[in-house]
Amino acid sequence: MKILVVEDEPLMLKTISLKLTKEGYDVITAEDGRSAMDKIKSELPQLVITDIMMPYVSGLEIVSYIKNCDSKIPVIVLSAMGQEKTVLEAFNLGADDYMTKPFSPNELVIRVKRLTT
Amino acid sequence: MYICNVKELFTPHQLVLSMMVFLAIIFMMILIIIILMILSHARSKRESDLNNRLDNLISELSLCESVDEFDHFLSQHSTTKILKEIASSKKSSLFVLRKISQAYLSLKGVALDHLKSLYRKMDLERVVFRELNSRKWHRRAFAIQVISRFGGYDAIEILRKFINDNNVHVRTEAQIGMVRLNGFDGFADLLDLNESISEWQQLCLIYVSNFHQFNHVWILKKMLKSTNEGIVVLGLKLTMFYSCFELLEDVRMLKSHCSEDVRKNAKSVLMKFQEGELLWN
Repeated sequence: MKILVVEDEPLMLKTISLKLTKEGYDVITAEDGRSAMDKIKSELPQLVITDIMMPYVSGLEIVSYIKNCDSKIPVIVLSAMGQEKTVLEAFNLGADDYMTKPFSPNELVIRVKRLTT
Repeated sequence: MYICNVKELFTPHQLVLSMMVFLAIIFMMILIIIILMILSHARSKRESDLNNRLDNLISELSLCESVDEFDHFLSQHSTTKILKEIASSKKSSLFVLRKISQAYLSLKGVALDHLKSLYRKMDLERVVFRELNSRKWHRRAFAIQVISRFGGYDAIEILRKFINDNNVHVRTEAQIGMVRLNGFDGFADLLDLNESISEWQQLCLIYVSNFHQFNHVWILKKMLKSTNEGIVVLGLKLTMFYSCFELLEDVRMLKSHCSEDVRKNAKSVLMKFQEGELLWN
C-alpha cells in the first residue's frame, strides 16, 4: 500500500516515513504542498498524511484538492494546531482523521491501519 | 592630453609593471574568492551531511520499540562512531540539542522517552550548562528552553535563578519551564516576580499549564492577591480558563483594583461566571 507523507519538517518527515516503512508500507514523501499535489497526480497514493502549516500550499488545501478529485483517498491531518476551528475545518473539507502534535508514532500507525483495512 | 601627461610621468617599463601588479592583485582576489567559495561549499556540505545523519539517527532511535532495542541500537558500532564524532565537537553537540529540542514539540510517548534517554546518555546537559553561562541572551534562553523540556539534575533550581532575569526572553523561558516541570506549583514561584508579565507570556504560561492536572485553587487565590499586576491578570485568566467558581468573591474584590487592566479582566471573569449562573438558573 502506497502512502504519501507531506511534512515540511525534515526530521518529522523521516520519522513518520521510517515508522510506516517498518510497518510494511510503501512510503513516498513531499516537503511542501505543491510537490504533494504533483505526487498525488503522478504516484496515486492510497492514503495521505499531511501537516497543515506548510509552504506554498497548506494541508487544508491538499485535503480540499484530494476530496475534489477523488474522495476515496483517506487523509489524516497532522498538526500542531489543536483549535476547534481548524479541526472542524479539516473535517468539513473531508479529512478522515486528525492528530495533534505532539503525537505518538505508534498511535499514528494504528490510525493508518484503521483507515486502510 | 591626459594620456600625454601619463606618458610624461611614467616610463613604458613602469606602466607595464604597474599593469602587471594590478592584474596580479585582481588574480589574487579572484583566487581568494574561489578558495572561500570552496571552503564554504565544503562546510555547507559537511553540515548538510551531519544534518542528514542526525535526522536518520534521531528518527531511528525515537522509533525503537523498547528500552532494550534502544540500548542495542546505541551500542552498535556505526551509532557509537557518530555519537563520538558529535560529542567531540561543540558545534555538533549544539546541533543535536537543537534537533531533539525541536523533536520534543512533535513527539510523545515512547518516542519522546527515547529522546530524553539520548539527551542523558550523550551527556548533553554539559553542553546546556556551558550555554547557560553564555553572554548572549539567545544562547541562555535556548539552554533554559532545553532544561525545561528535558529536565535533569537540579532543573527547577536552575530555572528559578532565571525567572527574574534582565532579559525578557530568558525570564520567559525560565517561567514557562517552571510551570512545565513543576505544574501548578510552578506558579507559586512566580508570585513575587519583579517584572510585570506580558500578554504573550501569560498565553504561554496558560498553554503550558494545560498539560497538568488542575488542583491548586490556593495558588490562584494567592495570584489574585499579588502585588504584581501582571500576575493578578494571569491569575484572573487562569480562573476563567479553569472555571474556578469558588474564587468568585476574590474576583469581585478586584473590581476596585487600582489597575485598569486588572479591573477589565475581573469584569470579563465576572461576566463569564454570571453567564454560567444564568444558564444554571
